[in-house]
Amino acid sequence: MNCDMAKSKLIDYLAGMLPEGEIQEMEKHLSECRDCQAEREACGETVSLLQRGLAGHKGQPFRLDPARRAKVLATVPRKRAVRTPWPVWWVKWQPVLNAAAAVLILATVGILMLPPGLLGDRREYSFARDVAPEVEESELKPVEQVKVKKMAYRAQESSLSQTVSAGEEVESIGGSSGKRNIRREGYATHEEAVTDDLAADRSGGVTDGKYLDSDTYGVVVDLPKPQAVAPDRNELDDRRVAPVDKLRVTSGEGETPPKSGTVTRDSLLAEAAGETRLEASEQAQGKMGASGSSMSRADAQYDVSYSLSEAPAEKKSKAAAVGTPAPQPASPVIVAAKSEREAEKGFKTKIAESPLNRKGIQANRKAAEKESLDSEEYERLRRDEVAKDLSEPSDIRSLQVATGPKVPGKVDAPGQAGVSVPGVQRLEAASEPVKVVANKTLDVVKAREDADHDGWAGGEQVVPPPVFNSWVEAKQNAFSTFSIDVDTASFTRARKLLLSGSLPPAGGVRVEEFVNAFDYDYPSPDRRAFSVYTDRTRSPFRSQYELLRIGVRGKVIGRDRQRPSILTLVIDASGSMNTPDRLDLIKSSIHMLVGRMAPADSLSVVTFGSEPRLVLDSVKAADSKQILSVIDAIQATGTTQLEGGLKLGYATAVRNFRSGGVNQVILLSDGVANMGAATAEEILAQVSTTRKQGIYCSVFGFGKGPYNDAMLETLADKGDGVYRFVDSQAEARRVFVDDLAATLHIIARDVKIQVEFNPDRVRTYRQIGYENRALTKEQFRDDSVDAGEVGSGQSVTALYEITSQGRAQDPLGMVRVRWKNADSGQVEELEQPIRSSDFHESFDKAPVRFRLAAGVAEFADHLRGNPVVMGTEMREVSRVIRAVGLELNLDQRVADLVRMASAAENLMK
Amino acid sequence: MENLTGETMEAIVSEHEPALLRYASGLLHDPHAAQDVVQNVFIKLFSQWQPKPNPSQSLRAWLFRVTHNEAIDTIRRRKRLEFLHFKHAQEEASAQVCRPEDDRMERVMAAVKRLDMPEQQVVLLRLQEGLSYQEIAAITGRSEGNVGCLLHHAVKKLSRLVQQADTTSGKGGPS
Repeated sequence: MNCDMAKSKLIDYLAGMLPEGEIQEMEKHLSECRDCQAEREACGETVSLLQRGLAGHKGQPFRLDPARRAKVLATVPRKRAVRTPWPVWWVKWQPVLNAAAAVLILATVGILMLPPGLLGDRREYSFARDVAPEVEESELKPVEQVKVKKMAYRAQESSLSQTVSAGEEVESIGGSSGKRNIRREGYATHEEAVTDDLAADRSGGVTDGKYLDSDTYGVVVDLPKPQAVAPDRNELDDRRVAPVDKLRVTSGEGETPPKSGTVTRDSLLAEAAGETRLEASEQAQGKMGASGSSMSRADAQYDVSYSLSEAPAEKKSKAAAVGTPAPQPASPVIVAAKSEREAEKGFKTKIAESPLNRKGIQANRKAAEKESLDSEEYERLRRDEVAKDLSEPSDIRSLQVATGPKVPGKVDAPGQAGVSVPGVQRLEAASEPVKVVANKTLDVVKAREDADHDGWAGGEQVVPPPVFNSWVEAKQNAFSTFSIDVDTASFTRARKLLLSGSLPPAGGVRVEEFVNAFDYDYPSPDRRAFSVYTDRTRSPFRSQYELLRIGVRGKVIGRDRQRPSILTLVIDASGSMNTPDRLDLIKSSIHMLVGRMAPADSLSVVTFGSEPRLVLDSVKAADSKQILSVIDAIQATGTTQLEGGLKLGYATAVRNFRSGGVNQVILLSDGVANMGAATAEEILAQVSTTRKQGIYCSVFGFGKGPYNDAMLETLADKGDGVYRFVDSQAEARRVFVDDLAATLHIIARDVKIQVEFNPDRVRTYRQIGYENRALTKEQFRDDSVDAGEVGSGQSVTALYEITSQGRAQDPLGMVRVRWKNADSGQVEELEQPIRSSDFHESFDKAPVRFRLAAGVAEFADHLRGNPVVMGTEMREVSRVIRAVGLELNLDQRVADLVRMASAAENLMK
Repeated sequence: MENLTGETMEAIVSEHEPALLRYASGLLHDPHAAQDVVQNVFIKLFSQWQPKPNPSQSLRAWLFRVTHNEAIDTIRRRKRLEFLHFKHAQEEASAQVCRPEDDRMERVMAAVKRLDMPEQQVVLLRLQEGLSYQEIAAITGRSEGNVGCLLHHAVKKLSRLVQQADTTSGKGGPS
C-alpha cells in the first residue's frame, strides 16, 4: 500500500469503517510511514469527534411532517410521452421529411445528370439558336428532363426551356419512324462544340448517319395517354426516341466527345440510367401505396409505364402492378357488406378483363388474411356475434350447404368464410347460400354496430368487447377465485335499452350484475357477517351439465348500529342533464334520500356545469327544508367539467371528514364528460388515495344515450363504492330508499370468494360471469388486493356450470369467503363445503329463485353472445323466464325481465 | 416497482426519508428547510416516475443526488443575509453548550459548516450515512479515489479549523 492509497483510506480506518483485510495492510503501512503517522495523529481526534457529533443527529426521528408526507404521497406521476431517441418533431414529421428528401435527392440526381453547360450560358444559347433556330422546343424533351420534371413535381417551365435550349445542338430528322430528336452535348469546350457542329453541318447526312448509329441504342418510349396531367405532359404522348447519347455527360465533363467507338459505353450508361429510373419510379409507387401521398393515380401510372418501356424485362410484373387496382388495405367488413354485390360483379369483370390480375388478387387476399390475423381477437369476437345471430334454422341450413355438415362448437367456421375474407373467398366458393349467409351476417354485424352507436353511445372505447370464461379442468386448476360484485348497473341499463327497442352492446352486459340484480332470499346470517348457501340442479339448457349456485348473504345492520353519514353529493348540472330522466330524476332521488337520512347525518352538495360550485356545505339532514330548496334550484347548463366537480367534491369531503362516520362522495351524472384519459387517471388516482383514508366514492348513473359506462364503473370500483344506474322513479326508490342502508353501510370490504372444486367429483367447470372480477388463487389470501364491498343485508350469487363424476356422496368442493370487517378492519374467513346432497333432481323442481338465476344468467350470456350458449335458443330462455315470472308475479323486476326477454327475442330474430 | 402504487410510494418514503432528512439538514443546518427539500425530492421522484425496473441502489443514489441539488438551490435562493444571520444564531446557540468535551465536538460540528460544499457532502455521506465510496462516487459524480482524497482533505481541514478555534477560544468561540 502506498501513501496515496493510505491517505485516501485513512479516514475510513480511523472511523472504523475499513474492511478487515485492509485494516492489517493499513496498520502495516502506518507502522512504516512516518508521514502517514503524522496524518493519523492530526485527524484521529477530529474523526472521532465528528462521528459523535454526527451520530447525535442520527438519534433524532427524522420524519417528514404529516402534511408534507400527505402531499408527497398524493403526487401523481406525470403522463409522459413515449420516449424515443428522436425529438418529437422528428418522429412527427419523419414521413413527410422522408418524402421530401427523396424528391430532393431525385431532383438533384436529375439535375446533375444534365450537362454542365446547360444551365445558363447565354452566349452559347444564342449561338445554338443561330445554328438551329427552326427547332421547336416542344420536341426537345429528352429523357432526363422529363424525369426531372416528374420527380420534382413538374419542374418549372422556365428552367425547362432553358435547359432545353442552352448549349446544345439539336437536329431534326424527318424519318419513317416519325419525329426523332438527336442531341449531342457535353463537349469539353465551346470551340470544340462549334467546330464539331460546323463539321456536322458541312458533311450533312454523313455525320447524321454517325450519330444515328449511336442513337439507335436509345429506346423507343411508348407512353399511354395520361388522363389528368398538366398540359406540358401532353407533349410526350407520341413515340419518341430517348437520346441516350446525352447520358454520357454525367460521368465526366473532360472526356472526349462520342465518336464512333463510344457505342458500347453509351449503351451501358443507358442501362444504368434505366435502372435508376426504375428505382425512382418504384419509390414513387411505394410512396403512393404506403401513404397515399399527393401524387395522383394518373401520375403514378404514368411513372410506372414510362420506366417499363425502358426495361422490357420487367415489363410483365410491372404491367401487373399497374393494371391491378391499387391494393386496398384489407377491407373492413362493413365496406364489403355495403356494396357486396357490386363489388363482386366488379371483381368478376376485372378478372375477365385482365388475366394478369389474378396475381394481384392473390396478393390482395394474402393481405386480407394477414390483416385478419392481426386483428384476430376482434374478428373472433365478431364471429361469435355473427355465429350467435345465425341461430335461425334457415341460416344454419344454408351454412350446411355451404360448408358441409354443421359441427357443434365449430359454428364459427362459416362465419369466418362470410366475414374475414371479403370478396375473394366468397367468389371462389361461388355458391349462392354462402352469399346469402354472408349478406345476412354482415347486416347483423352492422346493425349491431349501429345499435352500439345509437344506444350506448359506444364505440369500442367506451364498451370494451366482452370476455368469456372458458371451461376449466378441475384437475388442472381446482380453484376459482373472484371478487364479489354487488353492482347492478349493467342490468338496469340493459333494461332501459331493451324496453326502448334496442339491443345492449355485448361488452356492456355483465352477467354477474344481471344475476345480482335479483333477490334470492338467502337466509340471513345470525352470528357471522356472512352466510353461504349452495345448491345445484341439472342445467335446463344443456342437459349434460349441472348448474351450481353459490349464494353469499351479508348481515343486516340495525338502525341503531348505523354510523352517521357524511355525504357529499357531486351533481352533474351540465346542459346534457336537462331532460326529465336526468336532472329531474336526480332531484326527486335526493328528495327520497334526504327523507331517509338520520337527523345527525350531514350533506354537502357540489354541482358542476362549466364550473364546479359548492352550493351546500355540511348541512345536517334535520334541516331538510334548506337542503331541498337548494336542490330544487339547481339548473342544468353549460359543459361537463366532471374533473373539477369531483375535485371540489373531494376537497369538501376531506374538509368535513368525520372519523367513525360513513364518509362518501356520491357522483350523480350521465357520465358524459369532456375530459381526457389523463385526467381520468388522475381522478382515479385521487379516488384510490382518499379511499385509504376512509372516503368512499359511489356512482349513480342517469339517462340514456351517450354514457360512459366503463369510466363510471371504474370510478366506483376504485372508490370502494357502489355503482348503480337509475332509469326511473321506481329504480330511484329502490336505490335511495330500499337499498340505502346497503349503499351507505358497508359491512365488509375486499370480499373475496374462492371455490375449490374436488377433482374427484367435478371434472370440468365454467364460471358464469365475473370475468372482470377474477382473481388468482394466491390473491385470495393476499389482503392487499382490492376487491368488492358488501353492504348491509346484501347478497351475492355466483353460478357455475359443472360436469360431475365419482361417488355421489362426496362433497363437490369447498367455498371460502374472506373479507375485511368494515368497522375493525379485521380480516375474517369462512369456509363451507359444497354438499352433494344439495341437489335438485330436475330443474323444474328446483326452487323458483334458482330457476330465476339460471334464466337470468343464460339470458345475459345470450345478450353478450357467449359462444357457449350457441346451442340453445333465445326461445328456451324466454320459456324459463316466463315460467319464473308467473310464479313471482309480484316482483316488479322479474316482470321487467320477462318483458326484456321477449323484447330481446324479437330483436335477435 | 413496476407501477407506482400508494403502497410503493409509502414504502419508498418510509425507507429513505430519515437518511435524506438527516443529509439535508446536515447541508442546510435548518430542519424546516430540510423538510421542504426532501418533500420536493419525493415529489420530483414520483411525478417523474417511470415504470421500469429500478434497482434500489441507483434509486438511493438518485435521491441523494437530487437532495443535494435541491439543497444547493435552496441555499442559493436564500437571501444571503438571512442565511448568515441564521447561521450566526445557530453557532451562538451551539457555543452556549458548556461541557468541554461537548464544546470540542460542537466546534467540530461548527467547523463542518465552514467546509466547502463538496467536502461537506462527502463527510456527511460517509461518516453520517455510511454510504460506500462507490455510492458516494455515483452521487457526487466523482471517482472513488477522488472521494477518498476529498474526505481525507476535509478531515484535515476540519482539524485545522478546530485548532484555530481552540487558539481563539479565549475570545469567544468559533466565528
